Parts: sequence; structure tokens; C-alpha cells
Amino acid sequence: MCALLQGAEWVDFATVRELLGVSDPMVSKHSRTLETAGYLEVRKGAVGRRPKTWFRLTPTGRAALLSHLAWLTELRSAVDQAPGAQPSHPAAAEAAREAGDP
Amino acid sequence: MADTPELDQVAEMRRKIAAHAELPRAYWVVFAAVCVLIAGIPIWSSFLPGADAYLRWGLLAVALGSAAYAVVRRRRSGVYLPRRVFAYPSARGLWVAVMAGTAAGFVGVYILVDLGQLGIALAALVPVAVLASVGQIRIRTVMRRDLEAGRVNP
Repeated sequence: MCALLQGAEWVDFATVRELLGVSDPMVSKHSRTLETAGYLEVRKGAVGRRPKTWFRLTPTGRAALLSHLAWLTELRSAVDQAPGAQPSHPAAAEAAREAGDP
Repeated sequence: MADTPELDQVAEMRRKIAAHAELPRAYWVVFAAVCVLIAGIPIWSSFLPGADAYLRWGLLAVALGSAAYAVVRRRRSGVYLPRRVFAYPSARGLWVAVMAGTAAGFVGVYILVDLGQLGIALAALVPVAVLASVGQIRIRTVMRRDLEAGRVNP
């Protein structure tokens, strides 16, 4: 959900649900958790008579996401470079084969 | 260690949101036609001396139509991407170059009309429209790549 919101200014509830392929309660639950943590800003309004909810990441949420992704990327690199380790990514597997790694 | 589906999920979500940066083909056809019309204003003014007011109203209609399209599109898709091109780091330089080239083309048409070279000015409309259209399409593609790579900062 955070990755979805990272590049956008606002994304509405229905679009988040469709793009993630999850149910309404799931989106509500996760958005509440993220909002409580200060990572998500929620805006409620209406388009015509239809109520709408929009989400966007806060600067704190954006920083937390980038930090988490950097950690995951570092972890994957460390695992792929470990001797005897099975590369976790197809590109890393190809590179290991070319380098003669069993 | 097992693979990292989380990073793959992040990449997939970024690709899904980046798809909203592209505009439909019909938009670019209309865009190119409008570029020809706007770049040719000095030419149409010289053919129709009393039509300045109509040209101004036409420009206003184009501006309003473009704004309305943007609002309706964002509302329908539910995705509000950053509107400033400077939120997309890779697109900044290209945008400046395309704007400068397009402005130079528009100014060139004005100069040619001033010099009485209407035929050459008419012929110059097509490359100016092509430069503007292809340039904007390229900018959109680069914006999409920035979204997919997570480089955008709204």
C-alpha cells in the first residue's frame, strides 16, 4: 500500500482496493494502522453526493518506506553475495552462473 | 534465504501506479492538431485580419478544455499524480529542452510570417507540432520510468 502511494499525491480508496486486489475491510484496517503510526494521511470528502476517501503518505511515511526498502535491498545483496548461497533474484542467479559459482 | 517477494510486490505496485502517467493515443492526436493551430496563429491572423477575437476565444476554449480533461481524468481514475514536472527528476532537463525547442519553433513561425514567408511558415507548422508532440510523449515516458523506479517526490 505504501509503495502504491509513494509516487502519487492522492489515491482514492476504491483505486487502492482495486490495484492491491484486496477487500474493503483489509484496506480500512491497514490504513488505520498506517494512520495511527503517522505514515498515512486520510482525507474524506465527496464527489457530487458520493462520499470519497483519499490516501497519501506523510513525509514520515515516505522516509520510513525508503528506509525499509533500502534495508531489504541491502539484505538481498548480502544474501546473494554470501558464499554458497542460492541467489534470491533471477538476475543475481545469472550473474553467479557466469562467474562460475556452483 | 527465500526470495524477497516484498520487493517484487513494491515493483509491481509502482508499475501499476506508473501506468496512470501515460495518456491515450487520441489525446496525442488532438494535442498535435492543437499545436498546429496555436503555432499557426500568426498565419491565420494574416489570412483573416478581423479574426483576432475568435482566435483569443479559441485559445481560451483550448485551455479550459485541457484543464477540464485533466480534472475529469484524475477524478475517474482515482489517482492524483504530481502535476509539477519538477517532481520527476529525470524529466526536468528534457522538459526544459522540449519547451525551449517548441518556443523556438513558435517564434520562428512568427518571424517567417513577419518576413512575408507564409508558405515556409505553413510548412514549418508540421515539424513544430511533431517536435512538441514527440517531446511531450517522451516526457511522459520518462515520468513513468521515474514512478516505476520510486524516484518521484510529490
